[in-house]
Amino acid sequence: MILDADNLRIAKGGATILDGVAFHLAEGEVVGLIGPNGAGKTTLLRCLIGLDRPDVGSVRLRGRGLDQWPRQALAREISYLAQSVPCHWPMAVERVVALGRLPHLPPWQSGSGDDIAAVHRAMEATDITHLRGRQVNSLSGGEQARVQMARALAVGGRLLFADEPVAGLDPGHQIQVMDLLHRHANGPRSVIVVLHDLTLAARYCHRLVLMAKGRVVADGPPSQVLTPGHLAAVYGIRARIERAEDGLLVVPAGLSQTSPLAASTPA
Amino acid sequence: MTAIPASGTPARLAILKDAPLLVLLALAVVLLTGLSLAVGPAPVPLSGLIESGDSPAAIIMQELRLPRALLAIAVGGTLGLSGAALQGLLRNPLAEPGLIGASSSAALGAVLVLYFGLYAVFPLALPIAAITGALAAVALLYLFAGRNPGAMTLILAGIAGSSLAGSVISLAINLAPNPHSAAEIVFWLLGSLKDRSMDHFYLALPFMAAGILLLLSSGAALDALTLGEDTARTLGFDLARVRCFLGAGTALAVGSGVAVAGSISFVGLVVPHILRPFVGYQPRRLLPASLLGGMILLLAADIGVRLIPTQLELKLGVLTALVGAPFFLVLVFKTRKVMQ
Repeated sequence: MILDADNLRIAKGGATILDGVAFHLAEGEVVGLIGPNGAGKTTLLRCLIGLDRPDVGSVRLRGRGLDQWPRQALAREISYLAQSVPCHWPMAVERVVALGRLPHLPPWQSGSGDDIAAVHRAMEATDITHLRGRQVNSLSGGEQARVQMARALAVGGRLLFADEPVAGLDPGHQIQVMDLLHRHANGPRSVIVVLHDLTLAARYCHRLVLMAKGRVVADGPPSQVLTPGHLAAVYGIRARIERAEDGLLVVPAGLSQTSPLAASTPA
Repeated sequence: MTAIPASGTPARLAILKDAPLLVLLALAVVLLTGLSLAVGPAPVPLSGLIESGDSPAAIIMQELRLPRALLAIAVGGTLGLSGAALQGLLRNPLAEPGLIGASSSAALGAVLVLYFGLYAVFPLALPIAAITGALAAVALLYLFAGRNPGAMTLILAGIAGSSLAGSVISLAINLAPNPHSAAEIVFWLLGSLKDRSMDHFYLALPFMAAGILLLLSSGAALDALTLGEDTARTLGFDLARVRCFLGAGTALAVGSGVAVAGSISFVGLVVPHILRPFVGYQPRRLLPASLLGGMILLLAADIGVRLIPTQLELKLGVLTALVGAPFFLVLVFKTRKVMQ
């Protein structure tokens, strides 16, 4: 196991966000975090990379607690793609992607040949090389998402955490990003990704972790996690689940009888 | 298209990327310094700088014009640099030492020292009090505006800090023992480099140098902050430390500047704004450029007040405010569209 977390508990403003969550990650895995809004997916992700500190429980990367890692060394291990990253200044695409190399730079220095090569690889992988000179804020939403993806890839961390990386992308670019994440996970490199699209999750993840109300409801291969019973219990939906040649096809068909959403919908 | 350098190319000093721009700015600084030394009521040869003895040329050059030029360089540079650093930290083009209340709080500290006559006994008290004032303003800003202030919160926090400092300064003027000392405080507050000596320069220099180092050393963190605080933290930056460095750096730079020159506003707003496009909008690269840009602007403004034919010499702070305030107005209009 490359990353281990046990019994994570965290409360914010009186509400329990994570309630005894365990998480383990092996090398080469793509793990999807799924669950309804407010299930604690993002908070779990933030705990796993040290952005949030759990009240109880600990996270260990390669057997060493996160707070025992020197900051810069930890930053070189972890690539993090936040949900909708702001870019406060209208910098050129290539400069933004190069920010991913900051954990590798000695103070006062700009990048070496290795850094520049990593930036070029990241831009190529996300298909933004032709945009390198453009100002980020002049790009479309999908292009900006790919720039941020490239920025995260440029870090070169062995663990890539992505929080809803396909939100707001068209189907073509959704598949492009998921392909990229899937390919990224090989050898020692793993990917943890928060997703809402269950079909994409089933197709691209080796393992899914289904969360609800701060707890892990199911953890296993997609075919065992995406069952009508789980989806009804967690999302309150009736879903058609079909086995296609390239994975499962999950089609939400309607709210289940017991769904709290069904009860609150005005007649 | 640039070729991809071979792997193994050694890292370069980051500052080399903007070498042509920085050399150009440095040349302008040298040129304006020469001009600043040459301008005055009486024509004095520049050779007075290196002459020894009591010749009038040597006295005018070494005791009047040289400190004036050096202070313009030091004060202007630190103001430009702290403006660029604050804007990077708060990710807001409206941040500026004057607008966040640091200058007026520093002025308050300095006024209190002058008012109680501490300066005559213990000259170091002047910069120390001004730096403490500026530090309080930065702390107040963090307290009010939080970590990610919008343009409005920033300006409101600045107004609150400035009016607080302003009211106490008014009290000092009000209670001044005689009209002469009241006028002295008011004139000093307007900001000027006239009639300063090398002692003023040496008094401020160590604090300014420390401030400049603290601000310049946070450049990489400012770059990372472009992507927001969370991403900056995952790139390995300790944001508590960064805030501490930048707050202390700004207070040292602005406080010591105000202590010797009074309050000179808008340099930190105008300079980074003009230079930003030339450094690809990158906060780190903006720092050294703004340091030089601030020197240029203040040297030029200080030459300007001497050339503009008014009966009494125009105060430097008055000139920068007259030019800077309309600039600020335009900037508010522009950013209002972008930021909510």
